[in-house]
Amino acid sequence: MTRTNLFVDVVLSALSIVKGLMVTLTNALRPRVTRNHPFQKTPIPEVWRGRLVHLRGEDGRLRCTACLACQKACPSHAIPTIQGDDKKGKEKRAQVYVWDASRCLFCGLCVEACPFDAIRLTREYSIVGEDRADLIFDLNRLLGPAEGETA
Amino acid sequence: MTTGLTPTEHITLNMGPQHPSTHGVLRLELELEGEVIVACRPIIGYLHRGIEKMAEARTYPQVLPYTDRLDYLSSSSNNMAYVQAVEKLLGLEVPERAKYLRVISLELNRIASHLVFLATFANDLGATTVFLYGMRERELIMDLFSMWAGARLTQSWIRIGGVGADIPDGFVDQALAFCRLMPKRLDEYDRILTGNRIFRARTEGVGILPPELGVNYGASGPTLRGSGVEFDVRRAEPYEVYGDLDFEVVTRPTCDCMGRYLVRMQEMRQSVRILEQCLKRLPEGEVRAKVPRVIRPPEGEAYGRVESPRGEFACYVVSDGSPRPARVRFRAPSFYHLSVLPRMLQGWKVGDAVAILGSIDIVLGEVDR
Amino acid sequence: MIEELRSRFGEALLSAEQVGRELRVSVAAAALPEVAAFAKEHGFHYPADITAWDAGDELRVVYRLVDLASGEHLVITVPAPRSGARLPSLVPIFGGADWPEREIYDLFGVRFDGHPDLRRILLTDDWEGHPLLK
Ligand code: SF4
Ligand code: SF4
Repeated sequence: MTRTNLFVDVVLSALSIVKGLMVTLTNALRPRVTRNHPFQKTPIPEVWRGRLVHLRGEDGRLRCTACLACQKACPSHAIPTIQGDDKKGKEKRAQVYVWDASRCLFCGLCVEACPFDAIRLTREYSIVGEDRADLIFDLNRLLGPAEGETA
Repeated sequence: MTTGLTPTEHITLNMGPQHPSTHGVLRLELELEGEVIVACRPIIGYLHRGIEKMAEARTYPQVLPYTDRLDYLSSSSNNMAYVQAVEKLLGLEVPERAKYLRVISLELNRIASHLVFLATFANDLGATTVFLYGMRERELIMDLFSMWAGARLTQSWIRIGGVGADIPDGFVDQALAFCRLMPKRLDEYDRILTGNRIFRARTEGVGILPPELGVNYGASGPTLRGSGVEFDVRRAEPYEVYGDLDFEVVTRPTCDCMGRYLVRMQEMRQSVRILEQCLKRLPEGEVRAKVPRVIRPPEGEAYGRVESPRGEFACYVVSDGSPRPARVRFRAPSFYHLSVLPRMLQGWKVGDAVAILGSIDIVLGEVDR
Repeated sequence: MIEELRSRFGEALLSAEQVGRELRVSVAAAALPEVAAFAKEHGFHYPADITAWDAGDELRVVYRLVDLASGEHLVITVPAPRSGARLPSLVPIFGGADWPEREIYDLFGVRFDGHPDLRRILLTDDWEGHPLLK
């Protein structure tokens, strides 16, 4: 490299750095976009596919009739057990319903398959436990709000 | 020499499987002469989950959520390839609005994926600031996906027969605002990174992929277009509404890391263009065709082909007439790109390996399946 | 193209049909390298996909070659026995056959003669069996 070429190169390189610094400067002056998680909550949209809940009808009873449609639709056997009481047809209600969050793909196929609109995936995204058993939810831990209440 | 190494002695260096620049779990066995790479053996399979095998035991709709987990940076294109193959088997026609929504989802995902490329590539080469900027803009796309699909990465929102649900109120405005912002941000990236002397020195002329070699090894996408080959599935075999949209297939003749980088940077601008057209033209109507509850395609085979952010992502589905596919095969572009990597690395220094590997933008989820 | 293939390969061409942009042919294993080389001469430079599937009574190895200029596909299906299958490798013709052939060996147990480095690719070296066989 000749002397003048070297000189031009050094000047151009320095200019490219100055140009870059201008960008960082403008960005430093922009309002910040990060949140101080977990102290500051991130807004989660209504349609979020998080933890599964069971809905209750106006009479306060579960809507789920233990028809097993969700179990059949689930690709990853995340709903291993569903048992109903001994009533028949639409009167029948679920007594046992297990949802295994550690297997769930949060795909929503179960919700789509349910003919009684009995389950939802909710906005609760933080599903944690100390061991695997904590991630297996029985019906008591799957109860959502009754009709009219908000999540 | 004091090290006792004579120049002919080769040493073997393992890069990965836990190495930040391998973008996942990939092991490169490098054979070095001093600092020069004389041979490279990529070792893959660390992320193998047997998705193709699992698919054989699932019904057609049940396979879909698994496709998200292949190329996890761009789940819509995986969904699209699979859905396209199944729809071909079924001979299913999709409503017009759904086609537009699919393209919107695909292009948003393309920008998101290229932003991750930009962020990690810059980071690998020492420009940490750009990493933060890339991730920041990507978050705007993630917000759009969460309000529409209820998930950020694993959307499975392109469904057999259409899309999961219609877009919510305010989506179009928010997406258009993003389209207005993005070109300005791209200009900023260009100012801070593309012209930077160090960045140029590390990418220009580095990691040459001759076009014939690329085609022969089945390379595609920006990796091949960076070598001047004008091949883009969106143009070669337009699916959904790509045939009616106005966009350019970006190529670069330089065959180097810089070329591949520039192709992706320009592609983001083209994606913004496509998005604007789709958002403005979006027709009214249904978003999902009537699909039988049990999907049982007639016997046959179909090949669904899409242009994912990494290249030709395809899905080959064989049906035996039962509700479960006989075979689902995913053709992952990164798989082919990794197979040509040893040829691209030969003769370069270890430090360049990071740049070259970064420039082919692999995702191990789709390589290992 | 069909006519040309037929006159050139005669008996080795088991079947041929045109489906849209796809020319689907089935050839005997022995003729595969020649058919592939013939295809490459005729513009099919891009090995889009090489895979296999278990049809129950036999394996089918499927080679999809694409002509990037015209957009035509040539789909070559080669039948192979379910165990102990040996096929000629296409690596000398298409570099892109290297890893897919290793994958087919790994998952289906088909051996490719002439492959430079036929090892398992997705599974570990000490894995027993070939999981995608039914
Ligand atoms: S969201 Fe998907 S994986 Fe989870 S329980 Fe429902 S169907 Fe199963
Ligand atoms: S949740 Fe719905 S689909 Fe599942 S068993 Fe109950 S009623 Fe049936």
